[in-house]
Amino acid sequence: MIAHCRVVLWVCLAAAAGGCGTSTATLELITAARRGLAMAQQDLAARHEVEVQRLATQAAALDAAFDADVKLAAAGAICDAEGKPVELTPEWVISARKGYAAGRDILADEVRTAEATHRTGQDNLAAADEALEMATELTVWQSDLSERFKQHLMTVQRSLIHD
Amino acid sequence: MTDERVKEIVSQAVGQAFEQWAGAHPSLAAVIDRMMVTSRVVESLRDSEEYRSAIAAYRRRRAEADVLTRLTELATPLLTAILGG
Repeated sequence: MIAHCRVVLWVCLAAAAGGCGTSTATLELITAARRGLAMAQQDLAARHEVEVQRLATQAAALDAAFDADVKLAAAGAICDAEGKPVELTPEWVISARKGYAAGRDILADEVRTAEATHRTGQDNLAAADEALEMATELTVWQSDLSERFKQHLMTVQRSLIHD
Repeated sequence: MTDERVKEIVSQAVGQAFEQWAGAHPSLAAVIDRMMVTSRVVESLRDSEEYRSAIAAYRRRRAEADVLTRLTELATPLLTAILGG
């Protein structure tokens, strides 16, 4: 039994001498993946900025359109279906205000959706990065343990040779 | 949400068909007509069962790691005794 254990332990000693390359390759892959996530984060931020800008431009266009319609109506430049000029009446102004407010509400909803989508997207990337960090930690630990195990076996080997 | 949905919302707000309203408010209607509203739903990775399970597995492994490290340290004298015969 003891002799059998000795054979197994000497085999372990020999096996412990290799295996370092695997963890190095794993760590390099994890590092590459984390770099990719950082790039995706930058891309996400840039796309969000474009979206925020697009919505701000639409809001400004809505403001300008309201003013433009008032000026057109005041000048008698807007005609109804029968070709009669539309007058700048209180009813017309109220109707314009209702349509304008609906447009602003739609844009406000869009801004809220864009912000929420962006936050979740960022958090997803951060969560993925944290998971990779944990994988790094486990890989490093595994490698350290293997190295420590190897050193212990060397110590045992040295003490046996001296004895 | 599509641009048709945008017209529907405005139509409800002004109390008349969008095309009819657009005739009396051409500039506003033109801007609203170009609006595209999207409904995006991004799922949270942290809230997913997969992610939670992976984190739990990581924590279990960390606890095992501490035990294994300690065992490796304790193994040296034992190995010396066994291999020395």
